Amino acid sequence: MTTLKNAGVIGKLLNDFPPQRSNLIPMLQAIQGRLGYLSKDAIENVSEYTRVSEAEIYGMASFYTQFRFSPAGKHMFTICRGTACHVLGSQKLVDEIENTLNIKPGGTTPDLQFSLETVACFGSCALAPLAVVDGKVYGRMTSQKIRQLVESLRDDKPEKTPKEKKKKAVTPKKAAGKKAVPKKPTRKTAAKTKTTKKKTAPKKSKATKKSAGRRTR
Amino acid sequence: MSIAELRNRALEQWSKVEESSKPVIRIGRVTCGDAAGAGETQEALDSLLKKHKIKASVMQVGCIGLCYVEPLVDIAKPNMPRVMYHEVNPKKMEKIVESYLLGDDPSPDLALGTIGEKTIDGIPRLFDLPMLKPQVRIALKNCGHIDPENFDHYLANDGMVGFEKALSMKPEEVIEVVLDSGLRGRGGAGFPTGRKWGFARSPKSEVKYLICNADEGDPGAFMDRSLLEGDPFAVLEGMLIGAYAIGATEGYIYARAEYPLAIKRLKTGIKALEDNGLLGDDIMGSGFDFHIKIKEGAGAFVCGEETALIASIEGRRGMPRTRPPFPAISGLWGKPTNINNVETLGNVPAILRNGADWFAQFGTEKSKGTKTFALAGKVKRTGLIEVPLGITLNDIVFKVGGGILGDREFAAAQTGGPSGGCIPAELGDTPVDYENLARVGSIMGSGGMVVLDERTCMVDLARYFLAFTQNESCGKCVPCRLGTKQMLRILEDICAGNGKEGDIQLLEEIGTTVKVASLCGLGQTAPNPVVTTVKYFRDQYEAHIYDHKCPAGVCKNLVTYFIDAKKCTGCGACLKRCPTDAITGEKKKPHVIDVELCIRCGLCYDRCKFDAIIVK
Repeated sequence: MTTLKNAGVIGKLLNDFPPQRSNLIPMLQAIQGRLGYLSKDAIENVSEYTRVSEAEIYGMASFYTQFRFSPAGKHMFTICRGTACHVLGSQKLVDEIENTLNIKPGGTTPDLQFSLETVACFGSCALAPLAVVDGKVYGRMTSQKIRQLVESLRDDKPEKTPKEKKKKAVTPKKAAGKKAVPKKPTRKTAAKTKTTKKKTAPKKSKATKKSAGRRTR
Repeated sequence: MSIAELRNRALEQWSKVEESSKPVIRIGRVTCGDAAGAGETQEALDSLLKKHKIKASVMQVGCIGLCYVEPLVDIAKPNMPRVMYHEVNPKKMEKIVESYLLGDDPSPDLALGTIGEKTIDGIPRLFDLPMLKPQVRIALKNCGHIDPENFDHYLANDGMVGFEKALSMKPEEVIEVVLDSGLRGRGGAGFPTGRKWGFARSPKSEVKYLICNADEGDPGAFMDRSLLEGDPFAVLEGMLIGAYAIGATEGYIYARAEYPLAIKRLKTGIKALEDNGLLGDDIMGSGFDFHIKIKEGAGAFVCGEETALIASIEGRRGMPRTRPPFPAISGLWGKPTNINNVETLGNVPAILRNGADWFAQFGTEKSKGTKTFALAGKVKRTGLIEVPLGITLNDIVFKVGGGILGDREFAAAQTGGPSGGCIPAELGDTPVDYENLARVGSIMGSGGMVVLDERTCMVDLARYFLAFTQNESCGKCVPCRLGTKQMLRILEDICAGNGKEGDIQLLEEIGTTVKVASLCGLGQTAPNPVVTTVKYFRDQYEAHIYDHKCPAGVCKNLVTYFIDAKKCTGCGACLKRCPTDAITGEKKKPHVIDVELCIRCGLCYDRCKFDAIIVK
């Protein structure tokens, strides 16, 4: 059996498979499962191990939508674009993420926080439209819910603005209703309110509230 | 152990479930149930049982098909019928535990129906509900009833009876039975399964392969996933019977990687069969060898096509090749290969168990048995259904499906996914079988059925399907590669309001060429969604091209959003949501949309609780 010279993580993974061409897809799946994508080194290793040329491996792998050749973000948003999801508005979910994170399907944010992908069908059409976020399936999605999810997963969650604090204090019931995914102020809001952060004069924060509420999205 | 001995052990195990002295709680835990929150429900249940120190056994089962009321929990107390509760969120779970587990009140207001001979006052029988009454469950018999990962449960519920019977017959006789039953390929093409097996039986070869095609790629279809997640052993038994009939020694299941739970359950199933001597060499001392391996697909729709699927298993690009030679003569690694769909194989054990005549009593003259459909889209009761072939489309939409969401107008049903077509509401009395669906220009397909209402734009839908097939076209043959691309461009133009005189004719012309000249099924059927929508909804195409209007209000460039001042309460919900600040207005006074700024994203439409946003 062929063995790899520099048997690192990938070498260990590959040694589970006999070096046959028919195992190429499972090998690449195992590597992607571990690394999150197929690195150049990994393909070199697979080529060396199976004696199939790198070009052929690229040719094969690029045929299948599952394989990716650049690292994915920490949080993966996969939106189902199946028929049932389409007629119930899954394009709006894609639009929402595109607008919020400024990435297109297949893309990743520059800070490697979020990736967006679409899939032909998850096969849970009865609960359309569907989104899968980090492996968890969410049924009957709306653009509002997906935006809240994005915000809740952000690493750089800004501090609570006076607006948020005030809202909770005034209408505790409403705030409790929204508890599931607490609404986080966006960067825009945060930037806007930064100046008023330390000042707790009610008048000022009221003004902030209005303008923030208007622009928040 | 012989199968009979295994079954005795299994029956003993099963009687512990059926005659349990403590409550047995079944909870539907498949992908769709989990998407609706069954995971949280089970967590709540577990902690409640712990808190109240209730002794009960909790079983994770497959999907009974009532996806619209997931998560589903059913409770069987000793000497009582099973009570099925619907839409059980953690809060509802708490109520049910308190009333029915701690107390004796089955809470009829929370229950959907009962299963079993006995009844409870105030709760209807589940299988008498309008959704389930027209259904006949053959392939889905065990889904929602048994623990799909427990082989003993399967064995105790008529499992392996069919295989046992097959082993006592000659392989040719098994093929004869399947042929007589009239079973046809459930993947969509509808080729008689018995004949297919006959072709694969004939060639002499030391190695033959049987492949189960679980690459369910049609968007809008989830029958195979549900069956594999709810009763994987039925499919495995079908494979055993098929392999015995054609003389195959090696089996593959080519499953979509998007179905992790189905793959997990299949792996558990294969292991259980191996441990019990029902897979491997010399099965049950019969001299019949059979092994099954799972191959995960990597996301390519075209791999549902036989020769492309074979190429993919061999580790190549999944591109189809010309036939003949057919896989039955030269398939996987040049050996005779038989490929069957999941549902086809799932029907086989019941046919062997109950006989060909029993199976043939369901269905029509040429289309026998039942078919599962994934009922989705704009219908009230979405879910997985299994109906006898020959049932009319209207019966499916209105009786089983309960009509259209929001009581809107039924416009069309789309069957067969991107390879099928739209059947308009006028043809609602069409019997659903292979011949009649083909007659109206659609196909049976693998069983996706997406219901559309007046708010679905048929041109947009055709564009959607073409975008899909164009993207999935492998690029090997020119008609498919270029034809679908050109058709898509025309459709995109029409949807964007740039349609031209003659576009419709051009679509029909290219469609015919692609249909006739493509190499494989993908291309040959790709124009179907366009051809049928042009045929039945030509007025919609014309409205787009000549009047620059989208009657359904879907195509962004052709619609205008405005606010009905009479209905608007001035709540400000839309104003806050608008990404371009196109909506203005004072609190508690009707708002207005600035058409110039509006990007027609539809967010205000979704947000408005008073139906005040109008799209025209």
